[in-house]
Amino acid sequence: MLTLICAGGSGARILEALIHLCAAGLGPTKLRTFVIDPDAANGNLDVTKKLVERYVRCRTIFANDQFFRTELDLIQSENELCTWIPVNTQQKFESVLNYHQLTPAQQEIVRLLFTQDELDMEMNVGFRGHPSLGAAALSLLPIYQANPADAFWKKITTLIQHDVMESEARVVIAGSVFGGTGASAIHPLVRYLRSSMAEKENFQKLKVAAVALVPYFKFSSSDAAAGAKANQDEVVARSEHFALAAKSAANYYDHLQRTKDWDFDAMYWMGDDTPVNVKYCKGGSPQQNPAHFVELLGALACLDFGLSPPSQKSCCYSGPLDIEGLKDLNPVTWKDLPLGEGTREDAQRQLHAFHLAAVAHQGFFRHVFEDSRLETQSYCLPWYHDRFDGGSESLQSKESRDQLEALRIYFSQNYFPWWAQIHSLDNDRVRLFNPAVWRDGPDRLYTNRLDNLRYPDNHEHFYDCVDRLFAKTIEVAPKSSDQGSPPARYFSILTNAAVQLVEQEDRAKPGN
Amino acid sequence: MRLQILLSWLGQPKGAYPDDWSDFLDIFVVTFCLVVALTVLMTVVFYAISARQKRIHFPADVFAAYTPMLWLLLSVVGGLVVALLFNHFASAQDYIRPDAPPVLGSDANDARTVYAIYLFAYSGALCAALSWVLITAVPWFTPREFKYRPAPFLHERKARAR
Repeated sequence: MLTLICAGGSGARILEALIHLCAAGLGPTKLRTFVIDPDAANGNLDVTKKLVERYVRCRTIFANDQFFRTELDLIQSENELCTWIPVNTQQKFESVLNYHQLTPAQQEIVRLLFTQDELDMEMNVGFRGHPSLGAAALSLLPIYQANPADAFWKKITTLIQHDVMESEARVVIAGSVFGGTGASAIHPLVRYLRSSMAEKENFQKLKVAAVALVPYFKFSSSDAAAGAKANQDEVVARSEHFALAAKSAANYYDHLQRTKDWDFDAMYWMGDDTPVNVKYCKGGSPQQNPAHFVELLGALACLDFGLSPPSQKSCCYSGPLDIEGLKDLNPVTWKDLPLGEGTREDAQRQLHAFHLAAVAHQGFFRHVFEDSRLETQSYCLPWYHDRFDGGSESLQSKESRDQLEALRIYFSQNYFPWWAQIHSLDNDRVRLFNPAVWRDGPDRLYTNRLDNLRYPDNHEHFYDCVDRLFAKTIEVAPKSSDQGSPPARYFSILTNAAVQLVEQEDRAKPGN
Repeated sequence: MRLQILLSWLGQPKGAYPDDWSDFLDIFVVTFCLVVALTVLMTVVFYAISARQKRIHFPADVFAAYTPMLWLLLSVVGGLVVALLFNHFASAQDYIRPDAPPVLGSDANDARTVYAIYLFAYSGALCAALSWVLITAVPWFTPREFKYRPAPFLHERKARAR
């Protein structure tokens, strides 16, 4: 089983990307995940939490053998993402270290390692780009596990031990190495996991990887300074330190590797050469950075490791490859996805099919089901007439409407906005899907581009592609699953049609 | 001739010679059948082409009027052709005198005109009925996405029972 431990805001963003990939059917059968973040009110985390809730709801209703396949194990709840907070948010950092109970000699050592500002730092919004604080807090993990009042880590350890006994436990720790929480969590966590399995049988069946994000966003130093002044706070994250922090982290892991103290089976480094500008935010709910393709690459790295961990300890790197003639622009294309050649094509096809189903539902079928004539003129939609007997089998019953609304909310509030943010970099840098489809928002999609969902946008568009999809739903309906609720059966028809259309489109391409 | 049964209701008007009338019907029924067959064929072919050209582009198109069925109106032309041919043959051979008494319970004085009107209605209805039966019975003519549209009333009961 794959366990994803998301450290900090960037870790939560990687989870967001991974959930979208799971919705598109690229995820593993089962995924255990939780977040470590001292800033539990972080806006990025909040987005991911809502997404997880919506994914679980959609999965309960719509899961089939193509999409929404991945079952989430959220450890403490059925549908709520668990956030472990390594510090008491009410305390100062010095209390985390129990500073006042230390001997004078120990206090001297603490003062050698931390400044007074750091010791006085409130722990309410995370480690604010100070990985030394986070590393100190997270090094206390074995103490947390031994604490009977905190059953969380004991449970995690037991679950991973169980995976190891059963087959193999694959654990990915994801986060940024240029901020606070992510940078501080990766190494203490892997050390903790290794040590907790050291005396167990099959300990070599614990495979651990880290997905380390290097700077891919920045904020202006003047904004950060103004923010600090406004909050009467001296200790803030500064993006001009990001590159230095990332370099230090890389040096540190390189040192571990050279000294054979490298506990990872794989380490994936992801980044971008042109960090995007984001609004400065100290933390808390206003901190909502837009999604970035580096997080998508990070999520794909998690999947890559979950699918087939490398046989030898290795470091992998990913970032956009240069394209002939576009060296200065460095766009992101399907070829930049860090997957094997065959796997990449399959993944591309799967994402395309899900995207097609999403656009078709959101831009077409949703409106058909809202039409009052659906019940009285059901013969206008043959598969509906044949396979849905009305009453509780209707797509217009209250229950069905509620279920279809769950799908609409996921597409409209999570899926399309996320892709829109991924594609929002200047100069069309991200060249995966066609952003013209959602240019008027997720509720006004351009269905005349159903046959042009991948980049680039063609010049001429006709609505015949809608007709082809409609005809395909009629064709595949008799072979589609008749299990589950009416919306689930509809979704099965829609996704089968989408998969077949994408396969047809791929076959029709020159060279195939 | 067996085909005459199709026009058996076309009783012999007063003043016509029985043999002449019978000969006339022998010839006319063939013409009648040819026109009806041609009209049905054209209706079905045009319908099939039109149904294949019909596209669903927007959600409202799913419930929009099924326009390929308008080709059934070609039956009107078939009926008109039959009526005109009847009028032409009947007047050319003078089978029915212009002052022949009323026929088929009509008050009209002109039996030829009355026959022509009845033939128009009869052949038009026959063309429409035959075309519709063919369209409904042979699935090939209708694309799958519109398979229930030629005969919605056959499926309405199920829909209403919802």
